Amino acid sequence: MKKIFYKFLSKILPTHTAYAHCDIPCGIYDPKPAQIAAATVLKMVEKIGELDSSASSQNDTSRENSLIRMVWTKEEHARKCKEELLILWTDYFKSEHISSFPNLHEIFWKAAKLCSKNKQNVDLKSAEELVKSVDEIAEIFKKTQSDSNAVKTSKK
Amino acid sequence: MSPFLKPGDNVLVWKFAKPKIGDVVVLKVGDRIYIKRVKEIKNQEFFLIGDNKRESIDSREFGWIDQKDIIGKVVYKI
Repeated sequence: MKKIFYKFLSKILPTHTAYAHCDIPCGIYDPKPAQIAAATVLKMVEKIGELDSSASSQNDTSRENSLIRMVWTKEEHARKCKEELLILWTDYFKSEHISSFPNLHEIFWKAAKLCSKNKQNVDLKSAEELVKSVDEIAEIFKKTQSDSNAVKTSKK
Repeated sequence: MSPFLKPGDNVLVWKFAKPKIGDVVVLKVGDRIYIKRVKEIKNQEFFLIGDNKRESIDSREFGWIDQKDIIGKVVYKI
């Protein structure tokens, strides 16, 4: 009887679907992958510089091989860094964060531009600026987490 | 929420009940509605865990949930 009553209620009351597994949105965000990618870009730029100074100790083929691998790694990690930054920028950060960090868009825009600059050039200053910018974003991310203890929403 | 709930199960939710530890609650995160079990309560915040701990993404990932985001308590599984 009780069951029939509840079944009747379920027909007349408003119903919604509730999800038990929130795989999407997963709410998992972390600036660490972007920081690792930026640090890798800097490392590659440093290593390319060292390769130039140690050129005489290696034969041409070996040097070229090392150079290509380092440039490829720099390229790949600059791409990855930009991708991770864009996920944080477009998915994690919300308009309410802008009131606390009014220059947030400027910081992200600058960091994304630095990713491209580091693809185009082998420049220690640009690589260091990229690491600094991404660290600054990670710091803001950390503050938003501790400020609000907020529920994180969708990335993937 | 297995084994307590299977996909497609219907539950009756009471909006005005105050959830206690062990209760199953329905909550809103963004535009979606989720169902989890209360593990801990601290002031006005709830730490929620899915019964199927291996699969569930819950307060272990998204942190404490404010009371205002709790829609209600599950009072009956139909």
